Amino acid sequence: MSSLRTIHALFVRESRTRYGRRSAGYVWALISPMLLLIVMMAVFTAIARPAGAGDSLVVFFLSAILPIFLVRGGITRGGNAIRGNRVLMQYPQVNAFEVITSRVVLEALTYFIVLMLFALIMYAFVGLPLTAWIDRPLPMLEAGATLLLLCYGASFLSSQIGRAFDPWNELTGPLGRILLLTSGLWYTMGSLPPEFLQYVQYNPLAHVIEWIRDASISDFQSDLYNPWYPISLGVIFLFLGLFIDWLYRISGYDLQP
Amino acid sequence: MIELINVEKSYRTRFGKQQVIQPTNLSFYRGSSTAVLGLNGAGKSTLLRLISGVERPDRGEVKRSVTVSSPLGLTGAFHAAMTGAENLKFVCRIYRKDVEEVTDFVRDFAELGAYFHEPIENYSSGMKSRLSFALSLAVDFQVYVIDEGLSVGDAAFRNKAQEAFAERRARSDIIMTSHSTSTIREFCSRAVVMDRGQAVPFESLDAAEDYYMEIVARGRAA
Repeated sequence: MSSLRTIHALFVRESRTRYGRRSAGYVWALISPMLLLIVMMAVFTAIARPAGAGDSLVVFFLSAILPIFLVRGGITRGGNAIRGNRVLMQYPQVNAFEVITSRVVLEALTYFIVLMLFALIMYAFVGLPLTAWIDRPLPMLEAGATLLLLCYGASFLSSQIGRAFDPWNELTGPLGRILLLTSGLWYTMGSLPPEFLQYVQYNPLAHVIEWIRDASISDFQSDLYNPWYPISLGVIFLFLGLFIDWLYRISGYDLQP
Repeated sequence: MIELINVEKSYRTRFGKQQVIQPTNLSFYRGSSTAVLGLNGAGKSTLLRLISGVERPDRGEVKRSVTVSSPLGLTGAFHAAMTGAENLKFVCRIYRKDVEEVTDFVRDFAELGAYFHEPIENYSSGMKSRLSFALSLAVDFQVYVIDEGLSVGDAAFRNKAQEAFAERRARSDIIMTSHSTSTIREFCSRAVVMDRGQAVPFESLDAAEDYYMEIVARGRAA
């Protein structure tokens, strides 16, 4: 299938340039979540507060940090994906679909490897057993798939908004910060007072992260998340994005390269 | 065969919509090469971009039963931070071409030397156009769209490019613009004259040139 071939070509190309020219740039993918992790752990240790769920602060924080980074990156990088790849889209094989798909696949793969590295580092240096990261494998897979769907949909929609509306790229930064604050980085939904919970409930990522924690941390159970909320939003985002892309393609009206 | 059916294209400018291509019906058959004549701003480049599929029409459709190149002379489709070799691999992957074969051909044809493995941002504009020119020759399109593209590089490279196309004519057709009448006479047997977005096809170059001269004269008079 020609689309698959193009996605592969774009994937290889993106992977070379994602973190600049040097392969050492990929260390950044590990370091940036690690910095946030260290800050959060320092604060929690200083005020002697235990993890919001489970025994390990590392597992608790990373179960939020990596999904947030993935979705935030999908939205911000998606926002200028079309503008940034305008020249490439002169090739008839290259469309928004291929560009976004290859990017999301690359990002997801990168963060998956980062997660594996964290698990191995913690096992080797702190002796944290690998089982601390996973409690029920099947719900974990479901939550992971939902995270991917949400990231893909949000990234696709963001790319189309960025295509139509130039100032969008100024808004993705603040949106990312809102995501960081309302997705449950340092709290679980159950620990929130109702007046905050009513807002956090609207964030689909908060549901996914609660779901992931429910599935990965053995002594944490939650019935506050609704799996169908992030799933349906992911699908709606994706279809909206595809719809706008389709409108662009049939109208022929688009940015000039 | 390439068919333009009721194709229209306009660009938005600060002064409102500017219709660059008026409703146009054109066909290009296999076996004959076409020159596109017209004054600056008459819509030649836009027509070529629509034919090659780099741009889509506002209305109507472009049907292609052949593989068509992007307009040669277009050098934007390279990633500046990646080397010539890496950009070449990308093009090979999307057109399903053998990387080694294409590399051999392009290295030889584009004469980039050590720069082949340098990032594109270190290239001169001549190097970039030589690379893109060699690359599109290597992909082997059935129709080449050339927008002043045979005038890239120095005299030596121009000769080489013209020779390469002379050789290609057996299996590939050309749709080109050029300000050089001799180049047009050498490659093309029919022509389309663009006049303020209106495309008028001619089966004979002489008739097309007469009409073109009329437009030029009218332009001078106005």
